Amino acid sequence: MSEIRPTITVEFPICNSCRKPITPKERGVSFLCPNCGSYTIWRCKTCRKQGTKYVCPNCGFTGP
Amino acid sequence: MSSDETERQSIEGELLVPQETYMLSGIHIGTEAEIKAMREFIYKVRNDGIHVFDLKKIDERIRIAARMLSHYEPGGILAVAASRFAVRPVQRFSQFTGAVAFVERFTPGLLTNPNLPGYMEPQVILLSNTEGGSQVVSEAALAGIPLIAFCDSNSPIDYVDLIIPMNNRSRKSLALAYWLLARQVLRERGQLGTQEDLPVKPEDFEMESEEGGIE
Ligand SMILES: [Zn+2]
Ligand SMILES: [Zn+2]
Repeated sequence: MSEIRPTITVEFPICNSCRKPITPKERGVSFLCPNCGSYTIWRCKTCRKQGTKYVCPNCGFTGP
Repeated sequence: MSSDETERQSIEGELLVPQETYMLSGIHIGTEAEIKAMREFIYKVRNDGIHVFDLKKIDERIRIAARMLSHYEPGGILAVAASRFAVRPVQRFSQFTGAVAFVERFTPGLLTNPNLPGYMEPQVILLSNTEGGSQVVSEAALAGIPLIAFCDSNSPIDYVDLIIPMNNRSRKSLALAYWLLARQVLRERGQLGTQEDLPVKPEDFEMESEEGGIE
């Protein structure tokens, strides 16, 4: 008899700038695109600190 | 005021206020120093080395900041004055928009230590300048709170999520910027019509020279 093991996949949000997953421990930030308000932008702590640009895939707005 | 300070910029489309109003407030006059991230907002560098902001970009960012702020409940907005000239603009801005004004010295832990009296959990922070507000910036970073900040040509932009480029050192330019932002937030929320004005003039947002506040 084969045992069915449930698999849990935890998906972390992806940093809009560097495309790395943001772990809850790291404390990134998320907000709705300032311009169009219809896409959630995530920024990791490093990109936030360095002021790395983010781009909204919906409207093309570039921040910060 | 030198002719450079009143020299018109060629701008397409409409601004939130006439170009003269912007210019008389000195909102476009940056500093001699520049950080790389602020370069995209600079119109030109004067012969004396002063960086002049592009008025169209200031205008655009005020509109975008207002849109961003309108995504949050009024009481979730923490408006922080980190310099003396920002105290009254922040108080007035909060009065009109329902934001929470913070115009005192910032105690470390206010955004990060739940055991501290006065601990706050804002949804978004609007900061008058990052130079004087470095404690606010680092706590917004630790707490993961979105940060909108008025940044001069040489302001640190670490952890800032939305830059509003402008002269953040002057009484008049801070008054005009907060007045415009308040009006624009109310327009975005539909509490003011798109052509409607606040019941007071930008001068009403201006700090009197003898008024006290943060040093
Ligand atoms: Zn990143
Ligand atoms: Zn967008």
